[in-house]
Amino acid sequence: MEPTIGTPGSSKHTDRAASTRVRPPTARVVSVGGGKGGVGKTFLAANLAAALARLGQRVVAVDVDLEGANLHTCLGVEAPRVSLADFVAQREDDLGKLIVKTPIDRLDIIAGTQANLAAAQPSHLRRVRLVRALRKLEADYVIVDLGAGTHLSVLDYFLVGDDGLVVLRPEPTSVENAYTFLRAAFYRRLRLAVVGHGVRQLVTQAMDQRNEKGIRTPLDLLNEIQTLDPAEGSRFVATMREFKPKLVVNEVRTAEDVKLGFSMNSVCKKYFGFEPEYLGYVNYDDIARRSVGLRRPVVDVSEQADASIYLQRIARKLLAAGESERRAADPTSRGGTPER
Amino acid sequence: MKPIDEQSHYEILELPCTARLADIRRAYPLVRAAYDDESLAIYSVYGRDESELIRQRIDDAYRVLTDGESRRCYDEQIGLAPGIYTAEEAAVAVDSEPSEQVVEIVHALGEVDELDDEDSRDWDGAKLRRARMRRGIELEQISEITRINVTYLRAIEENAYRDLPAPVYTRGFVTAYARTIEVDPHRVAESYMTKFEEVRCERRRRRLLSSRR
Repeated sequence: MEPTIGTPGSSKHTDRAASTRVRPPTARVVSVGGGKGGVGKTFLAANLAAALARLGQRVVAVDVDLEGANLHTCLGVEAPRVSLADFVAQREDDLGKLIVKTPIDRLDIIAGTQANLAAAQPSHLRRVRLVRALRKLEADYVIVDLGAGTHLSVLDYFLVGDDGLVVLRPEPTSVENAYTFLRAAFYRRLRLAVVGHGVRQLVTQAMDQRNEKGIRTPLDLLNEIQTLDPAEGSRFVATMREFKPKLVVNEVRTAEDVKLGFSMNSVCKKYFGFEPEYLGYVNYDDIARRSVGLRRPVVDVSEQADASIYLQRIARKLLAAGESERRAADPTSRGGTPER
Repeated sequence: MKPIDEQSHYEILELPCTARLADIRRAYPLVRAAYDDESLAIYSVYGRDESELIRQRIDDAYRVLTDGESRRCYDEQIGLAPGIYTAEEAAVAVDSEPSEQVVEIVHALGEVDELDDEDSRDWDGAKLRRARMRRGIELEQISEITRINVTYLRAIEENAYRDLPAPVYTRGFVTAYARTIEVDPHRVAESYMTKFEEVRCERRRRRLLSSRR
């Protein structure tokens, strides 16, 4: 009874322009990550998933943090019978069969709970399969809640996203972690983009902050690569342009905190050479804290709460970005997409 | 994509070459603040010497680009076609060329602004706080100007009516707060006090009911 694949009718009233809009062949994947634990990744993932569902989208929230799974709790799902662990342990090959309903309309979850704590981490091959399967889920949006740290698996789940969100809090430790994460994700992406063996090795070397060549920033690396192979150099520049992580500052309390996102954008541009997008910020809000205790997303508890206003705003921004990209990819559907 | 010392004044200020005086004035303090020694945004990325250098470059850029004559020379030097340099010129230019490039940082700030419609009649503590934060004013500053204890100011923002004094005082506090952050004090006080009184009445009614039982 768990599987809810393609629940007929659930999306009907949402597709006001269904006659003109071709249903997207693949789900839009939004990954939510960013350095250290405790910055609000899961809170944000749960709330964006809920907010998008409330906006009429069919959403599947996926918890890929098998070691610290708790997304299901934030969404009010107790001890799900099936989870991603079943896919990882190869007990189930169809990701769609691991979907569990949440109390919120149009919002389903693939939990990350794991009965056996000694269970193996997914192999590389399994991860690649998972990444592919995520995109094929029957949904408009797949929200991926990442684990902490900069392990390769975390980076790969992050990079699979059409939107990659980096969550941070306005404090030095979190800012530092966010930069570390951005840097690691960028180099990982770059390593996958360049072709030549020599250049790949160079990128790997550069990932070590204390490398012998004195490559500290992506700019230094670009210089090195350009002398080695100009064609790879332009591939590098293209990757840099395409790399558009989205920053979200959580728990802001002051005007300074709000500006942090703009400032970090500027620093990324000047120091790393790539330009993130400041997607938005979420106010520090007591109701948000209480919502976690209630095991419900705050956007569901109180639509008017300060935090909810900002979370819904971020969700609408994501939705608008998705729509405009879809439109760009499929010019025939022009004019058919509902605004707001 | 160039190292700092090869970037143009425009790139340093993260503005398009067509930026108008008003844009430059608006963008400068924001970019400058990002590289302040106290700035959280440079933490773990730039050291003191580096941020000092960037600040100098930002100041240089600002000085050149906000002076009509210097900017004209600079543009010529880097091979740009002459643009609109002074506020007067911008006024005369009508809207023959509506700024082709959206100034990103100004645009982004505008987005933050539009979240709240400050002309509306509906005000509460949360909205006051957002209005304050947009203006870059801290509670302590309001406290200094108005001589109102920060605890009360915070209670206003948190709609913690229980922690606020009698209506006549609270109204005074809210009015002073609004005036300091330059939003319509009457409108704000009316709206805020309506909610305040509602909650107070409700509380009194409940107290009466329970004491009668």
